[in-house]
Amino acid sequence: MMKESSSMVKTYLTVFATLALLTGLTVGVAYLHLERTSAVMIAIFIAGLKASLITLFFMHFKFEKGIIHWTLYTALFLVLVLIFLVLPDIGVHH
Amino acid sequence: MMMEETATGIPSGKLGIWMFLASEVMLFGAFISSYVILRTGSPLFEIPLREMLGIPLATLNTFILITSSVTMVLALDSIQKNNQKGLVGFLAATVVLGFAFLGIKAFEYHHKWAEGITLSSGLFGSFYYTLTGLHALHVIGGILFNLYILRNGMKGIYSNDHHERVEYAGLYWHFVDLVWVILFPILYLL
Repeated sequence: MMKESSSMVKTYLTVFATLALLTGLTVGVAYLHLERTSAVMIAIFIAGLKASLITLFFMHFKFEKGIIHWTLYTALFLVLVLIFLVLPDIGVHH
Repeated sequence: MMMEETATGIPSGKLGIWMFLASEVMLFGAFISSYVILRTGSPLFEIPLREMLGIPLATLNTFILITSSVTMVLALDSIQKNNQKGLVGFLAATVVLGFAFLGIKAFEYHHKWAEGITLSSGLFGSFYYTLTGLHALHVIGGILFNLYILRNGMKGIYSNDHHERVEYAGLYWHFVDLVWVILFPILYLL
């Protein structure tokens, strides 16, 4: 069940502030010239966090039923397959 | 208006838009995974200098899309409270922000092209224009969808118990924002 609308406005604004803060953070970190692996890990972590916040709260995924959850999880799993079944092959050849 | 009964308990339109978004995840996922794999594995993948990428403008565009997502969700929140003016105002703001994003993107394309980053200048250029171009097409689609909802909203078609299409337009628009949140670091910051 979705929360009362008045309290949802506060949630939306909090999510918005967090997204803005995370955007500033990811740009700031990019200028720190960290070691490559750390830079990639931090950028992907922040992007994942931002994407999750948008999905959970703006798209109300948090309040949706199982069939919608499984629809999205299936697509995400297949995308991970696309990436991670090929990457080890690159590791072997380079 | 009475909601149509469905076997899943979820309105057909909502299930349909989520199925569509899942297929969109696969579409962008295929391109993004190709980019990650070629960038990681191809010795031919040359990254342009950071100064050529235009990080400040891309950051501004990220803020614009994030803001448009919050105006979109506030439009939905307004109509859930039967606030027609709120719906129209927040939707109009979302549309304006969408156009602002496209305007900045057009300026960025022009600048990058002048810097020598073109569709045929290398793997980065090909991926940059394919990914951001595909995303920009989705932004255009989202603006058209929002304009349709805005027109209906101005006619007073939606109310607190009949606003399903506002929600569907919102789902699509947030997805467009979400894709940009992923594209921004992988194309500009890494």
